[in-house]
Amino acid sequence: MAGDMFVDLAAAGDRAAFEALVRQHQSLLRGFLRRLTRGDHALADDLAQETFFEAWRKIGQFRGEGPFRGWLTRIAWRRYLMAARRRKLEPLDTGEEPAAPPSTSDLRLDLEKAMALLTLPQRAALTICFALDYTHEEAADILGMPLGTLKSHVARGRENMRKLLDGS
Amino acid sequence: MPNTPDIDKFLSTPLRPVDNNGFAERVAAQIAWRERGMMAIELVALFALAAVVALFVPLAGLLGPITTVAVELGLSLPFAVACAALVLSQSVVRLVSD
Repeated sequence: MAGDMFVDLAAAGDRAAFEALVRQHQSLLRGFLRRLTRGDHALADDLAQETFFEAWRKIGQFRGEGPFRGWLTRIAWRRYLMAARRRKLEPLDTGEEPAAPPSTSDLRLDLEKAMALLTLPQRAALTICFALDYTHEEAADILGMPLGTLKSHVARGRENMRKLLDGS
Repeated sequence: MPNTPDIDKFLSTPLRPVDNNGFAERVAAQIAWRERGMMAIELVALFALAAVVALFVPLAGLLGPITTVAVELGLSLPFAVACAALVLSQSVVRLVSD
C-alpha cells in the first residue's frame, strides 16, 4: 500500500515522504482535534502541527501493529490532554455530566453543537468509535483507557446525545 | 434529523473534511526549521564542550604520546593487514549488493 511505503520512507528520514503522509492524514487529524477543541480551529491546527512533529521524531518507533492513522490519533489525543491540562480547557477525566444542561432548542440540527456539550471522554469515545470507525478495542487503545471504561463512555455519550438531539 | 432513535447512524457521520490549504507544507517547513535549530544547538554544545576540554587537558603533554602511537600504527604490519581486510570486505559487500 502507498501509505505503508511512505511510512517506511519517512522512517528512513525521507522528509518528502513524511509530507505526503501529512497531506494524507491532515484532514482526519485536524477534524478530530477540532471536535476535541469544540471547534477552536486555531488551537486544533496548532495541536495537529505538534502531533505531526512528534510523529516525525518518533516514526522509527511505529511498529505497524495497527493502522498508521491510529498511531497518529493516539499522539493527537495525548497532545490535546497536555494542552487541556496546561490551559485548563476543561475537566479531563470526569465521568460527570455537564453541570448546567443547556437549552436544546438550537441543537436539533447540529451534531457539532450537541457534541460540544458532552464531557471530553464521551466526545472522544464517540468520535473515535463512530466518525472514525474504530472498534472499541482500538479506541480503548488509542485513548489509553480500559475497554470497560471506553464502553461506558460510549453508552453514556450516546444516551446524552439522544437526549440533546431529541430535546427530551 | 435524529429525533428518532437512529442516533448511531447520525453519530457515524464522517468528520467534516478539512482542506490542506498549505498545512502539510507548513508542517514540513516547521520540521526543517526545528531540525536546523536542534543541529545548531548541538554544534554550539559540542564547541562549548571542546573549549572546556581544551582548557583542562594538558595538550602539550599529550602531543608526544599521540605522535608515537600514530607513527607506530603507521608502521605496523598487522594494522595494515586489518585495514586492507576492512576495505576488501566493504568492496565485496558493495559488489554483492549491486
